[in-house]
Amino acid sequence: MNCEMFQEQIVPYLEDMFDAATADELQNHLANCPACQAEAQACRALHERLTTAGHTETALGTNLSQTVMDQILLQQVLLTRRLIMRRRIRIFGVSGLAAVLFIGLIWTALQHGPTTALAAEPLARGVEAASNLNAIHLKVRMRTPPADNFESINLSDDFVDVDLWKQFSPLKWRVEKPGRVAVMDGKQTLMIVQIGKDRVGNKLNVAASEAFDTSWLHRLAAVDQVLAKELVAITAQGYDVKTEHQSGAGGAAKDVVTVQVNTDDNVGKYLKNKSLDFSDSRRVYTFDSTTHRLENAKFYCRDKGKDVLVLELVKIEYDPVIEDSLFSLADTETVSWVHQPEQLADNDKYEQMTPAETARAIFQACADRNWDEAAKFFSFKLDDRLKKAFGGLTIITIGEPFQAKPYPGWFVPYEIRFADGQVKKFNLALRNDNPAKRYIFDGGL
Amino acid sequence: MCQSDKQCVHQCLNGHPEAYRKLVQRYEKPMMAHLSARMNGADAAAEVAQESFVRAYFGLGKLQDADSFFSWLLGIAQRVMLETFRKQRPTISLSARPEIATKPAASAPRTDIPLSEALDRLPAMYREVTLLRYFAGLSCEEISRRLDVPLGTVTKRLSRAYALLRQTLATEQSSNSSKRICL
Repeated sequence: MNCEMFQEQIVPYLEDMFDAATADELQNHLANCPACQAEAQACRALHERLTTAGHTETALGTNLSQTVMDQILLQQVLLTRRLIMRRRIRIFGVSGLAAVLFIGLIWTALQHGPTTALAAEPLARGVEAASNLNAIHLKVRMRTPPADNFESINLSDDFVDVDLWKQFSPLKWRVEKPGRVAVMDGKQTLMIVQIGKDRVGNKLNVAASEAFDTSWLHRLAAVDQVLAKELVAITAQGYDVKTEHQSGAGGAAKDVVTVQVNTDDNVGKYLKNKSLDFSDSRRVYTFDSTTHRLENAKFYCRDKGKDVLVLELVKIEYDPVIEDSLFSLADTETVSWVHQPEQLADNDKYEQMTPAETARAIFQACADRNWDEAAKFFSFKLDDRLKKAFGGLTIITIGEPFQAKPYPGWFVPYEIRFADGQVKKFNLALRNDNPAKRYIFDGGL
Repeated sequence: MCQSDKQCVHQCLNGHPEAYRKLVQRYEKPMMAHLSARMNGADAAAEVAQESFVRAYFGLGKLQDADSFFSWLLGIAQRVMLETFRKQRPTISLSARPEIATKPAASAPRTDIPLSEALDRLPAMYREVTLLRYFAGLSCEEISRRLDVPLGTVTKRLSRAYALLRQTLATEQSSNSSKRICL
């Protein structure tokens, strides 16, 4: 019995629905887990509060049934009289079926706009419809630099397709976009990036549940949790939400729920609207009205006062059959694998370098074509393509480094002129959270 | 004799309107409980409840999921309530609490307002099981039979209702004011 299991059983526990053996097991867990004790106590308090409220309200006493049935009969009689007066209309009998069929047209005036609780109804049903899956396949398209990591968004870039295949038990997954693929086969986690003709890889000797900036995709794959969290946000934090009923292709009924979200003000401005996790956004969820399954989701970022579509979940396959071979990578012999920066003989010198000094040292090494020196700042082998592109450059400026939480490293603004005269202005990402504790390149070239 | 809501609805639509009486008898208590906290006393709540049941009867043909009769009924009640408020106090914002009386309040004690408002914010299918459990006094097994869903689904929905209620009540307590969800 662990905490997650206990909390899933908390309602049956409070309702005394278990046999003696199971109840003992739960009780034993409670006795040794303060967190679950607190959870149980809070739920019990709510249970008692609801029970008290229920007892108070039901003391009112009711006898509506006869009054209601009388009213129904009266309405039917009135309707019949109106029908008799309209000679063009066939007279219905006063059977329940006839009255319902005809009155349905009259009562369309009752269709008012939805309350928020009704607006959130498709989300709640979507949670149930997406529970207990064995596997999932998501196809998303997102605005991202084609050669950048899985997480970056750039509102001015075109859409790139990203796929996630995931098997929940045993856990295995694959994430792929053009030029980049990451897999976890239950034993190790790999990523291979195509850089020109070369393939650079990163290997983790663990079965990571998420890695290589794929966290957001994995969160998206937990469709029930995404929708459940959205529900909590709507009901507790007051997000704007509305729902519409639409007809999709072939007349299929759809429920479309739109949620307006504003992110935490603590997100650094540099990262705001550059990563899906840190964007003011509008989210539009489309559900199949019959199966209640989420079929499509659109995420918009607010940029210069306009909503820009940055990501669309264009396809969701629930419980697809996935070949096991999809979770492994072929031809890994030719991959140049990245490594953790090692302790250098003069590591102290590099450990004490500031981000600005490190950036300058990297570009100077490139300018001098001193690739042994440059290699000290990279976790992968420098290929010929990179050497050719950056060799002989001239440093124009190195700017003031800045941080943008929650990225753990630093961004260093730079401007350089390549040997062919072209100028590039961007930000170099550096981080030193490695065993050698010196700043190394983490992106931005 | 119909057992589940679905059977009662189908019997109504198949020309046996008396089956609807069964549905009224099942849900009048939780309906009254749901409405009394928001209306000015039992009489006002009864009027809204009655109107809601009548409209629901004539709208049965539009009910897409007969197993969701009660949550659908609650939606109708919500609209009837709003119409009633508009008629009574047309110049007052809908966010005003219905505490100003046009006739003496019923003797029923005031209920737990924050809890009532938190219940209001639950998605319909979570509110439905909560009202049936605590205001209609049904056990989880009885709710399972009534709604024709597995017992595990009932406890799971109650569990999620708990989580959402606690979240809302905690937020209400810390802000010390009613949050209004924009429509």
